[in-house]
Amino acid sequence: MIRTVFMISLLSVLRDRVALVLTFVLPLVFFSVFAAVFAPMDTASTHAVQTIVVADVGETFASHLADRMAAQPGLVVERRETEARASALAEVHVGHVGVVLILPSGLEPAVPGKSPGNGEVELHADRSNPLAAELVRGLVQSSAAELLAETYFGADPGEVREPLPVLVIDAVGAGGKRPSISFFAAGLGVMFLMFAVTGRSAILLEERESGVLGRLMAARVGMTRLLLGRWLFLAVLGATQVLVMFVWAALAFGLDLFTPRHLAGFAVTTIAVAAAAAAFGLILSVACRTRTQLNGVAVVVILTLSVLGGNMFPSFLMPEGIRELGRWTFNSWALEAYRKVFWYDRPLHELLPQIAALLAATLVFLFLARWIARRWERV
Amino acid sequence: MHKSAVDTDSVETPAVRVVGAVKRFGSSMALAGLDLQLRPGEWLGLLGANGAGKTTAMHSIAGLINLDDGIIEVFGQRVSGPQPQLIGWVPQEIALYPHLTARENLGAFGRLNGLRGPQLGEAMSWALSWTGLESRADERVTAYSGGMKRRLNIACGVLHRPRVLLLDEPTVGVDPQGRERILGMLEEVRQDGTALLQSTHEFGDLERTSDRLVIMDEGRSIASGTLGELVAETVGNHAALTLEIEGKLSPDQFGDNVCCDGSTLAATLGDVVEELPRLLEDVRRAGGHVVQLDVRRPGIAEVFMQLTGRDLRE
Repeated sequence: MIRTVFMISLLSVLRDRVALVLTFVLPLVFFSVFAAVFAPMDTASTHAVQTIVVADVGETFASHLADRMAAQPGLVVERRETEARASALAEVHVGHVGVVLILPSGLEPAVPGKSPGNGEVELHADRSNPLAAELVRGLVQSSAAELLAETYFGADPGEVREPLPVLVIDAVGAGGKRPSISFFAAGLGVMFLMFAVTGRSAILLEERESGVLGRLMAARVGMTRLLLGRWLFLAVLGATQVLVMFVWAALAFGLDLFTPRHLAGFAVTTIAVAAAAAAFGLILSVACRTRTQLNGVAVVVILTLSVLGGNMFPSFLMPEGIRELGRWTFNSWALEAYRKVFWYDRPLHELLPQIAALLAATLVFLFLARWIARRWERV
Repeated sequence: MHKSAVDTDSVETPAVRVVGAVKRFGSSMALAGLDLQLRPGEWLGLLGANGAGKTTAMHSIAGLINLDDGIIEVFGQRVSGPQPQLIGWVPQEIALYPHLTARENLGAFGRLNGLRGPQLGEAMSWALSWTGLESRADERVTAYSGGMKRRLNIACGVLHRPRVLLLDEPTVGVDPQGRERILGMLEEVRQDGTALLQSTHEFGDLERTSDRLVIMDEGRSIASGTLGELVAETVGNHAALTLEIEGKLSPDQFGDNVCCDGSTLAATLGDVVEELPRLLEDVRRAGGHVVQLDVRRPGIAEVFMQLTGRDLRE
């Protein structure tokens, strides 16, 4: 009896291609995606931190320290004169660089046996990448220790007991901002947006299976109007879902949503990303033959996009090659736009590149969905 | 009942005319030169075994598929796509939105077929009354019985009052009582002037309801006409008589048109009124006592068997 039940189960699985794919292929796909994204971190460096070092060239110690910092493989360093301090700080405020390091004069005496130095290193950091500030601070200390040791102790950094004073300043994100909250609200919001619209887009498959599609076609609704109607609904549904997520993040976790600038940026970004995700969901549903197939395909495609686009893990954890690949995903544009809104406080017009990319993606997706759906029309 | 959308066509113009329709799906030929004509206000039954091409024919007339060859006209207009003003489409499946109520489904399909405002409201009221679903109009379709779903399914195709109604197996899976109700509803529509083309392999219903029948086999029409004409042209109008008899009869006691195996006697009768009393008298004289008598006129099943060599339900 047990053998018969076992055999029925076995035959059912063996003859269900979707079940086989979900059981055996899906885990391999995911493993491969994650391995491709994160394995290079074992051997290669992650994304180098863009750093501006502001130092007076007339100050020997600061100048040498700046040279050593520029030689660090984990940093991409641009050097500026002390007069350019304000413009350098502006760069970190808008997210063009991760860190601005200001090396004042008077650092050199901070060694044993000498009078304390009268300055301290200022490290202005963009905390959207929390690793960057710590990395640069560590490199400053080690570089300074090496420099002091070579100068005063015959190349033994162990003799340098007193660390160089480093003042870490949050260039952006000060004043109670919650970088991790805005990251997760945007990342998870967009990922679940893709799942939600794809799930609901399955109504097209249900209509086809139930004969409603034939009835709609006989009523001369037309495939274009049918798809546009579905897309509009999915976009509204998706935008509402993201709105609920952000409002919850604001109320429960202190996300700074309710300011005019943030609300405006949030609204524009959310409408654009919901439009793109809805069109993306349509493509998946018209490309699949059954709801079961759609479910399997959606899981693979959406999670892959989410990993590459940075919805699940911050992109600064990824190797440069994967980051570049991620820039081709529409969800990464959405995350970038949300980051500009909530983290860098950028005005609406600065969202234009991301919004334009999302709208362009929407048009391309809609065109593709319409093209694929030809097979459901008159044959 | 509402008036049809178009009232100006001549009665001579066929409601639907199909000439030499050919449709291939890959190597399979679904329609192989189908000819068919539906007259205005007529109820035409489209009969055929599974795979005969009935559904493809219906899809073609509804403008849902392109023919590889041949012509289809609806009231003289060449079909090049869906014509919802003229044609109502009732698919074999329950093509409804299950999470909407009957009223909401009717409203949706009414709007999609061009009805608006008071016209839509009037049509919905009529449809709910016609289907007998008024008292449950605001329940979701998921809560309906199979027969109720079928009635609503038909109503969604008739709501906008097309002049031609295509019904693909409209009573499939419905119990006899429910089927009677659906056929009654369709008769009402036909009385109102709508031409019905109903595909089915449930020949019993069509024998009673349809004006004419078209028999399809392998994508072609192999016979058409009234039931009487088809019977006369194929199996003839002879009645089949079967008698169950108590007592043993000898075959030699009867004529050539009688087959007797002792306790059962079978005969074909040209004129039942004249020949049956005579045969019963012969049985009595031979010492037989009739315990059961069955006289049966040949029907569409016999016609189909005669024409195709197959049972209609195969």
